[in-house]
Amino acid sequence: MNDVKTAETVLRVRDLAVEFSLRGSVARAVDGVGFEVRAGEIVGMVGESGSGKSVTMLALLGLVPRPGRVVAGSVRLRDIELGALSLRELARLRGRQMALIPSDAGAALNPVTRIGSQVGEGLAAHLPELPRAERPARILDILKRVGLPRPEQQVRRYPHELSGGMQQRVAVAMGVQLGPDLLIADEPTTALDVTIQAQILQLLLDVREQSGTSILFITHDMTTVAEICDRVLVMYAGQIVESGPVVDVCTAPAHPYTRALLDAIPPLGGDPPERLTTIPGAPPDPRAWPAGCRFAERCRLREQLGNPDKCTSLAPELASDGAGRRSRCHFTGSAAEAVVR
Amino acid sequence: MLRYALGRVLLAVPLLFGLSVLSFVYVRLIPGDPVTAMLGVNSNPTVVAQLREQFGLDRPLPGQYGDWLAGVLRGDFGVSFRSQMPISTIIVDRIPATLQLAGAGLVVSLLIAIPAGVAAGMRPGSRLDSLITSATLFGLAVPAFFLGTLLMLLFALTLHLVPSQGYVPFADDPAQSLRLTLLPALTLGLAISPYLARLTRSAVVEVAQEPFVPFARAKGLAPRKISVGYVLRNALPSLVAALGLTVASLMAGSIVVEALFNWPGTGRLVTGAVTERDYAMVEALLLIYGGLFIVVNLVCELAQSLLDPRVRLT
Repeated sequence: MNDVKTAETVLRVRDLAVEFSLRGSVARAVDGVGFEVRAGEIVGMVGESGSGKSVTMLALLGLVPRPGRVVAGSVRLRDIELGALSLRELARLRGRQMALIPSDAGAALNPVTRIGSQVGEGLAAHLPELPRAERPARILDILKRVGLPRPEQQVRRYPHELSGGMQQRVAVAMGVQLGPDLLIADEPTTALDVTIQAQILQLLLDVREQSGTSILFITHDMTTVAEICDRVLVMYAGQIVESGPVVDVCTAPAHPYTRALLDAIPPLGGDPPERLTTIPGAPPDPRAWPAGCRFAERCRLREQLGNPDKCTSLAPELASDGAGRRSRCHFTGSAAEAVVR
Repeated sequence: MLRYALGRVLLAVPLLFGLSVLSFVYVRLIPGDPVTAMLGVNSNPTVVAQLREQFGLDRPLPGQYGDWLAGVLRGDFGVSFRSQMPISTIIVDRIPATLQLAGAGLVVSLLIAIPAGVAAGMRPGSRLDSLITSATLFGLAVPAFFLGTLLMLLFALTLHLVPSQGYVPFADDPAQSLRLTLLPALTLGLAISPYLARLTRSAVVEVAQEPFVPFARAKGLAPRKISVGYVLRNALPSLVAALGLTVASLMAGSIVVEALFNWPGTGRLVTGAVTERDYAMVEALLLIYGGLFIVVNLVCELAQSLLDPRVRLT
């Protein structure tokens, strides 16, 4: 999509913060996350487990489980401020204007309900004005659109009677059937094998092509991001550490964490490496974020620069380069970095 | 499915056979003897011997058992030592009253336990959950006879809302019959609802953690639809199995409740037969209660497999 930069904004998230308080200690799982998704755009959100990407997703849907709660920030979908909605209004919006594609469709479909009636639940909840008699045709229609083979037979089957790829297609059908403005795809391919993964990714691209739906694609897999996303947000320790167009970020990562993530992908072709590159250490404890840069402990750039004090004493800002790229590092692009690289 | 059902039914046969042996032997292990119970300890030894011979109590146990089992299979449980009437006639006579009480008690307990268990299980750790969980703990600790006495004191003797005890067959006077059923059914229902509420809660907690529950929320379905169509519906197979086990408490509870409310059901027969050493009657009741438990659980197991489409039985 070439006109993405000029397209209108579908989702605008500002300074989002989510806290979990348990037995006196408070974990700020999402800490000041802000980003935008424009119409027809596929934005990838990458990060390892515990980076806050899943909690961010739940916060967008208004589904942060207790004892977590959104403590600050704003989420706007088109011109609706989600924080101002009642629970009922929010439920009406979920599945209609903003839909989720789950990571493991096999586990996310109700095991005791037939595929047809399960797809029909969304219609019944969000389109009560649609006559009951017209539902079966709508259901078949949407299942056909997501490329489910022989939909007339599948509607009578139970989820466990379908293959993983077919289950995921059904989940996509449920997500897109009401033409949402935003699809949130939560690692929709992790439970699938590689060929089926490619099919589902292609399906998401088709959905975007046909209906211009924006997609927030949540994953821990940089390769998938490179395949289908227009822009990428890299999350680490509850914050966005880098964002920008996928090609730019993948070819010339600005933040040391992004660089480390890309280095961890095993090279395709050639001799397999003796050892895969990993990032040493573990992410910091969300109950006590470090004072300075949250990646400092594990950062190679900091090491190469001789461990400057600034990294551990001053928290870096998410600085914009004015050309659509942002990075949260004191030293990337600096003269000091140029020397070590 | 049919083969599975058939297999389960066939498995129940040796179980019932074992139950019959146990019922028979168990009664004979109890010290005392029906003849001495009838005639008193200082009775004429000749009369005692005569009566023992008449009832066949002087014969070796395996022979006695064989005759008894042959009779049972024909629906003949023998003659009550006490009343000299055929046991099957006495029991059949009492069954409607017990069924009425047990059915009403079950309805009461389901009405209390299912909503309470779902409410607690949907939000584990919440204040409502702690309240319901402590209430069930309290309920488990209060014996049925005490609870029944309190209810009788309050509703019958103080408020005069319902009669304190008695039984009228439903066919004779439906309104009065229901009025009389109210207190015993409430007692029985309250006595078993704590078990059922706890079983419901744990089944709901387990299901609520499944990924399809948050996904249902993400689809924007109404909370009611989620708790009924998703959580309760998926907890149903385990609930049905739990219900089968609750039948044991229901039967035990009805013995106490029937005695308390002077309810002429099979439960009263149990208390009477045990105190009077009515061998044949105790055997028959043990076999019937145990058999009922086995059959109910068999039915629940089959229902459980029908309720879960993932169980493909061959």
